[in-house]
Amino acid sequence: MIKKGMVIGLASVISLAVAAAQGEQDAVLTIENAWVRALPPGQPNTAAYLTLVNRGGEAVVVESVSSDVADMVEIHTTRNADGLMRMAQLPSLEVASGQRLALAPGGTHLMLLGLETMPVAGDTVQLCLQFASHRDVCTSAVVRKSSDRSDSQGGQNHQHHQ
Amino acid sequence: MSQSRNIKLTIAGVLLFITVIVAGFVYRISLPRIMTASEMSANGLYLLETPRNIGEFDLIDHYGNPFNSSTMEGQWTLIFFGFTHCPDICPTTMTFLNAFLESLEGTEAENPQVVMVSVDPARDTVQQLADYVPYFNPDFTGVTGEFLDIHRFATKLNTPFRKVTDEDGSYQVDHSSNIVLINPRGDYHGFFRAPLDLAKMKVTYRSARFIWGR
Repeated sequence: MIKKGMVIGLASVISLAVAAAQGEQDAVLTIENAWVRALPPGQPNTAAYLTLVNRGGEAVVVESVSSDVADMVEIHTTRNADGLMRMAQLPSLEVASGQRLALAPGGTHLMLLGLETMPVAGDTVQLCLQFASHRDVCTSAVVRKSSDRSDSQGGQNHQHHQ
Repeated sequence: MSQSRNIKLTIAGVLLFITVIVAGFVYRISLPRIMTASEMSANGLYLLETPRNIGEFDLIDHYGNPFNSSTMEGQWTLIFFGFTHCPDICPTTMTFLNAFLESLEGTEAENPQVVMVSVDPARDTVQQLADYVPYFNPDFTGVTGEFLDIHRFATKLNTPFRKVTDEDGSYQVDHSSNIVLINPRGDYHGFFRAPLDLAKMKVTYRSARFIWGR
């Protein structure tokens, strides 16, 4: 267990290091802990998660997302309707000034649709967020089989720990 | 002479008494904690007052073998109703169930069976499930079948699902992310309510097994 934790910890450190090396020195908007879920080969779609931090004085709106491995990326959220889980597409994503918006399993996530091939654990995937009034912010998301927290099923209010 | 002998005996007696108390206390706290039914429900496991016979059902597993009432006899079974075209909550739950199995120790770890029953049998063929389910754990079982058979099975387990068609003709399936617990007699025993938590699920599962085995 400890070993596993160390490996996961190391993977997060590497992903952060990679992200830093990619030149994400945007003073206003930063993406942290971006990861893509590895699913069995042949699956056409998968999910991606990240934390978007807005240090600017104004709210920003994510209008679209793109990735080098998917035909299309959509913003989805998992809603609980009468005890049943339902996926709903969101047209955009607002991040208030000073907010850390965590996209996490069981809640809001990015859907990577039409993958040519399913990325495998250890790969990196390029994710770019397009904003209404800010230049694009891109990140290299690490591909993993599960989040670094597989001890919960997530939920709407799940906050990604730092 | 006899007075000092009595003192020694008294001291020995007191020491023995203390040792017994301390040993008993240590033994007690080393025992796994067993919850009552109301404590279990407060921690997410709802048990039926009387486990319910599910009756006959006829489904098929990802090896192409029949999956019916006798398949669930002889071990505890955890059932998740999901589908392969579900990239968020389903893989999260499957990964969680794998972490849950890995966290079990001792007698609790003995042969619980994890089953994902597809709520989207039109796309989830035997082959599709064979490609998907073992990815999360080679011992997990995928189950599919006729839509109505699965619907009837899910309804008996209080785990309804709903196929919703979008305007463009594509569809998605609304489903529960609870986990159904089946006892070794093959009867519906209870369910773990989502969102699942590993520590809570471990202690409630252990308690349910312990109480049932008594």
